[in-house]
Amino acid sequence: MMTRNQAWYVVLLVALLMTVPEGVVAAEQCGVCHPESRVAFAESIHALEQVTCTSCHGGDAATQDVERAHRGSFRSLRDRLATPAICAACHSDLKQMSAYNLPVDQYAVYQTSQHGMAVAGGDPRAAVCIDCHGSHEIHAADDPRSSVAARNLPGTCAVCHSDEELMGHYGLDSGVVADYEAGIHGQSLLVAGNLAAPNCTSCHGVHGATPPGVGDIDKVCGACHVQTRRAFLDGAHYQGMTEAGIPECESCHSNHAIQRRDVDSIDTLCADCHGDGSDQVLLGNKIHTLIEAAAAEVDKAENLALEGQRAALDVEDHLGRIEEARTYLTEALPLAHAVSLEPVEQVTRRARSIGEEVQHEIYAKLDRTEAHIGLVVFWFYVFMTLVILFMLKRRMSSGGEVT
Amino acid sequence: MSRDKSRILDWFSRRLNLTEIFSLLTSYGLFYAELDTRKHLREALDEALERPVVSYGRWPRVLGLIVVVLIALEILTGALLGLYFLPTPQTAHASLGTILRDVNFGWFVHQIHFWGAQLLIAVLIVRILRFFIQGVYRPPRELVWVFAALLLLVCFHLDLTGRALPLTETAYWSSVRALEVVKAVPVYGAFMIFLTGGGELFVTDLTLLRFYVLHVALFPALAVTLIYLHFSTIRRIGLTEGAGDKKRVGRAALRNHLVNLAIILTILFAFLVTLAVLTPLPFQREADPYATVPGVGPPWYLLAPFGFLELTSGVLPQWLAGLVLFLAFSAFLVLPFLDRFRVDTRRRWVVPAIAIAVVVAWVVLTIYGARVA
Amino acid sequence: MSEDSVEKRLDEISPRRRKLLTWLTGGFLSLWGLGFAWVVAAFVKPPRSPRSLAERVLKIGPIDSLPIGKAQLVRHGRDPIFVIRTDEETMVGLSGVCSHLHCVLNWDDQQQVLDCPCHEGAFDVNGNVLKGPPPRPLKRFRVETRLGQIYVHL
Repeated sequence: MMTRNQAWYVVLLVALLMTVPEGVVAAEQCGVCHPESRVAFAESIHALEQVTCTSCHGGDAATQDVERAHRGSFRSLRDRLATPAICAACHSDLKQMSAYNLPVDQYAVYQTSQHGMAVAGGDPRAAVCIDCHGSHEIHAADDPRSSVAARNLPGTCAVCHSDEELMGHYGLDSGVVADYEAGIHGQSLLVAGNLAAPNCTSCHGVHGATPPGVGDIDKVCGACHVQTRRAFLDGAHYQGMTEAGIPECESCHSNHAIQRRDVDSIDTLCADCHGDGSDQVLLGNKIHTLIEAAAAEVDKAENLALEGQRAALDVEDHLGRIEEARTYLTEALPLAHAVSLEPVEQVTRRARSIGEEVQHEIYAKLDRTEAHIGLVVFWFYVFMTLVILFMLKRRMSSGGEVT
Repeated sequence: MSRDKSRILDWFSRRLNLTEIFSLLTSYGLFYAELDTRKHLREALDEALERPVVSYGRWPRVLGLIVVVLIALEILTGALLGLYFLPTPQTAHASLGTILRDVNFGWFVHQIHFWGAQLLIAVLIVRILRFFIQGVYRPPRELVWVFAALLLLVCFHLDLTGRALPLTETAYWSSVRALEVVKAVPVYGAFMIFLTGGGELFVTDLTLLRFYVLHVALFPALAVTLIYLHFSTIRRIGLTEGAGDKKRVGRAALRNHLVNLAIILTILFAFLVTLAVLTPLPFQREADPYATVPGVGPPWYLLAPFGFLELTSGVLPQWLAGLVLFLAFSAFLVLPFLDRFRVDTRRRWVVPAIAIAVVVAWVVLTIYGARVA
Repeated sequence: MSEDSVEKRLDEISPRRRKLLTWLTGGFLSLWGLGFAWVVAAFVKPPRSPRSLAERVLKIGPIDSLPIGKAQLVRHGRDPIFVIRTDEETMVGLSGVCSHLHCVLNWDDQQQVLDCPCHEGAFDVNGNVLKGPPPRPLKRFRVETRLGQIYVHL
């Protein structure tokens, strides 16, 4: 039996418990035995939103008795395949999620994904929610600490997709993340820190992760590269490649290890499929020449303008027009995807004519003919003066009178 | 006409001592003798013009007057540029742009100012070499040397401070390189850094303004004073008689020499204008104090000490290298008082040999400095 | 002609012509002074447009030339500026180059947005990014009207 003192302690404890929010206490009770989970959880977005241990794990958080705590509704969650449904219990509930403005279709979408279908087929190695989002330490997706934040995501996908053994099992390439990281998108996101640069989910979908099909590549890339796609759809490549079942953008740009294609690559790219000396290679060369020639004119104009600046000319207006020409040159690259001369010619012609105009005008301004004519007149004058002075000197030394 | 002229002259002569006023001009190298200020101007001038002078036909003698004329030209063009130049960090570069672009003959005045300064320094160097070789430092001409040497150093400072004013890219970094040389010299370096408002850093907010004040007021005043003192000593002592001069004494009167001067000045001016038109100093971008432009050395005349500092860095501690520079410049200034050079008639080859050695060392260091910059 | 022959001819000519020649010589030499004075005077005369001030305030033109809902691209070096008249009173100055790859923007009258021709970026009249790759909004400039003229402060 309790002593009187002990009874008072119990009353005090109960009173204390009633003043503290329920969730914290519950975590505290579980945390007595699971301190690591508790610490990780305390940082998470769920802790902030009053989600408790029992929300996912069930059981009784109010007790420190091991047996009583893990009784009744308790789930160990060691069964990975069951986790999506547990998360969905809240995350597919519009009532609960609407306050956070979160979508509720993730579970449904997930079930259509390669991951979800494998899970449905009973494959325990396929990714479930906690593989990407973490379990206790879940952060909001835009939190930089989150495993699915834009810059962390490639690493998170790499956990499985760079695992040679695991990928071998599915016949998948385990080098995709490394390729991505080496490519321009990965460099832009991971090195330059441009959060707008695409990560894995930008092309493959988020919860519905699936590789885009052959006919869909242009849509996926076109989501960002709008102009390029428009030109591509207008061109001969689109229909031809679709009919032949050739992957569209990927054929020239590769899929994950995408590199910046400069204009020079047109020359070799065309020949790769069409063969040396074909009409298509000729067309590619022409497009290349158009862009190169226009860029060269604009470069020349810019150098000349800068030279003019060193000669203290007012070249503000010319620099503005060069900027305009550069805009046309930037436009030319997407337009080249129409694999036809005309649209490229339109913009490069403008860029080129601006470059030529600016060159003419600055050449005219740089012209120092006037100053040189002035110098010649000046020298004539100097010469005449010297003649007069020498005559004066001669007369003086010969004893002539001085005027 | 000439009657009218002489009447005007007489009118003034009764009220002003024109001869005295004119004699002030003689302090700047035109006459190498004193005018009798009690006489009427015309009389005094006639007397002075007919006075035979030591071998005026020899061209090196005109270097002094060239210096005076170039300094006068610098003061004039400088005053003109000052009408438009705004010495603040925000406006300096843009206002030079205005001068070069919009002001009539702005580019011309600017180029003349720049090339005149380079020519001035070159002439001063040639002149000091002539003094050294012909012994124009032996008693009683010690002060002639000291003032000429000081004048050269002041002109270095004038060019250095002027170069940085427009804050163009290479000019700015060229000045910073030059200040590195200046800073290495003990005592003097600390003083200059203090004067230009720089502490540990070479360039602060105040530096441009201080450079400006030094460039337009202090250093020009110093230069003009030194020229006055320099020619005062010459008027007191008379011109040097170099080897081979004696037989030509009295051959030419001062008025003949003035014609020679006019000829050489015309050629000089023509040369200057040609330089300004054909090889204009480019108008560079505004300097960014946070982006060092590589490959910019100090001005050409400071390449030798810069090369010396670069050569000895790592070998000598910097203070020691600076001390060597300090001693070298000091020795240059007080050369007449170094006993060894006082009178050395028996060994005539010693002085030219040293001169050649100094010049060769200077040229070699300059080439080295230009290559490391 | 060599100097000797000039000398001889000078000695031979009459005093009258000689005086004329002296005058001519004097006149010729005094041209130095004239030229010198001319250069100095031309230099001292202030240029018509002092650039240092003009560089900070850009005059666009009369306000009537810019109808409501229209925009005008003002060339200013590498960074042209759009002046957009949103209503009777208000005018907005926006940088005319896209914050993505520095392409020069186009004003779309219908949508009242600035379109980028290069990558389909778009900005609203306040310079905010509406769509596309631009990472930053457009830089804004102060526009004011004085005596019916539009000025942009740089």
